[in-house]
Amino acid sequence: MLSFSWLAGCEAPEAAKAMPSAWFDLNAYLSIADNGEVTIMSPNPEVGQNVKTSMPMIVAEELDVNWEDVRVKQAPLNPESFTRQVAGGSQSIRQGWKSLRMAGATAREMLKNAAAKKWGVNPSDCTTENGHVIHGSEKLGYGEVATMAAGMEVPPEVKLKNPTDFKIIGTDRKNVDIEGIITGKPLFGLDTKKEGMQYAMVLRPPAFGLKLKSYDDGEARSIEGVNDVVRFGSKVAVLANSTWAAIKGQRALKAEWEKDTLLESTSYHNQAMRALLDKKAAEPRRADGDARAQFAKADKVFEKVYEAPFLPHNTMEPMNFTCPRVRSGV
Amino acid sequence: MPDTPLLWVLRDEMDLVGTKYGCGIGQCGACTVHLDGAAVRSCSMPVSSVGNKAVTTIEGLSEKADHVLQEAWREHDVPQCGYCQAGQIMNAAALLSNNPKPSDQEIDRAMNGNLCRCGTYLKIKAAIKTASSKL
Repeated sequence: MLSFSWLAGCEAPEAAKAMPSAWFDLNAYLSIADNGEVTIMSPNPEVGQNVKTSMPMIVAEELDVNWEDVRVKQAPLNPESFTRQVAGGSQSIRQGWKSLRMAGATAREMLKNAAAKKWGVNPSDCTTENGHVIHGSEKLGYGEVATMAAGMEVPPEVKLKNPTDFKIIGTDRKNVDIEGIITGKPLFGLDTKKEGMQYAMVLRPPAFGLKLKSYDDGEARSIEGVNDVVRFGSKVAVLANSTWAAIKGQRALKAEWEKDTLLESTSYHNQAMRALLDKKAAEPRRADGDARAQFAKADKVFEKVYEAPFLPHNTMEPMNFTCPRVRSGV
Repeated sequence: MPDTPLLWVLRDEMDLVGTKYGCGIGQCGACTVHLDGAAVRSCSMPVSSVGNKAVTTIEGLSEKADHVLQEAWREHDVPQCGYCQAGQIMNAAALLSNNPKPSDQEIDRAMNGNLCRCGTYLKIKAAIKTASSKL
């Protein structure tokens, strides 16, 4: 999906209130600093659906901290710690809901157990509120027990909050990246800079179903700043010292294409779709009421066929990624 | 290279990556900067044509991130993914400096060339109106 460009280099330099001297990882989703600051990892790619704000809100809710004390970071791709790190189908919150809440609630329980141990009291006599564990008149900040909590056993079962007690979920919070966005900070994949990096632009077949027959890179190679031209499969990449040189090099490539498989088109898609429908092989995913019966009862029936073409799900930021060069390639 | 668009001089050579590359053909507005205060599309402007004109990017719009539009953007929590927003803000800033009290129609007309894939248009317009009310 769109996850590539978001995984690295999207850490915004934010002004911390007071510099924490140590961070303690309570689980893959969160760490707590000795000064009480909380860092919550947002597991899914942020592509404008605001999950980088909403997913950590869910963790923060169960953790029982002030949203103002939370810093959010984009989590790296890690299938062992996170599930379904993709954006698509409006599923991030729906499918992440349980694990996000569990992550927060489990950490809260460990913090509570740590505080109880310190006080020598029963954890069930302790409560939590706004980043503190409370027992009677005693109170400990999460930061004060974080190091101990990080070493505690992970509780096999935890109790989730009652939705009526929610303080963060269901409220309106600002986009966590708003400061970086409105001041032009590097937040996006295309903003990545690495020492000595090269820029590449790729020439691809102009349609599905075409393959590269031949190409002439003579002119592209003569452009100032172009370092190399590499073919891979039916694609040709121009490597250069700058984006502009790579763009000019790509434009200067002369390629010939030939038919490979069936040349796809909107009319072909419609034809294939109609053939599938005619086979009646499709099963309804959802059936509300009885449309046929209602039509049969109608005074007048209008018939109209609508077709939607296959359209690219274009992004504003051109698809891009940055990768390190290794001995065997990239 | 004198034909290098201003956009790539800003991004690659000056490390000012707040100005964005969207379409590269002056159709989306993500690369909008000011040239002597006027909004221009930096992706389609060869650096050689800049001459002695002053270039302002999102990084230089205000010293303390307190331009009236940045304040309004915060108030309305405008951005979603954020990619188009620098261009939106720069375009709106040029509009308000020429016309501090634009009508709805004038806002629509001025902002027409700045695309937002997330669809934050209503918030953008509301924020421009809030900013305008403070001028």
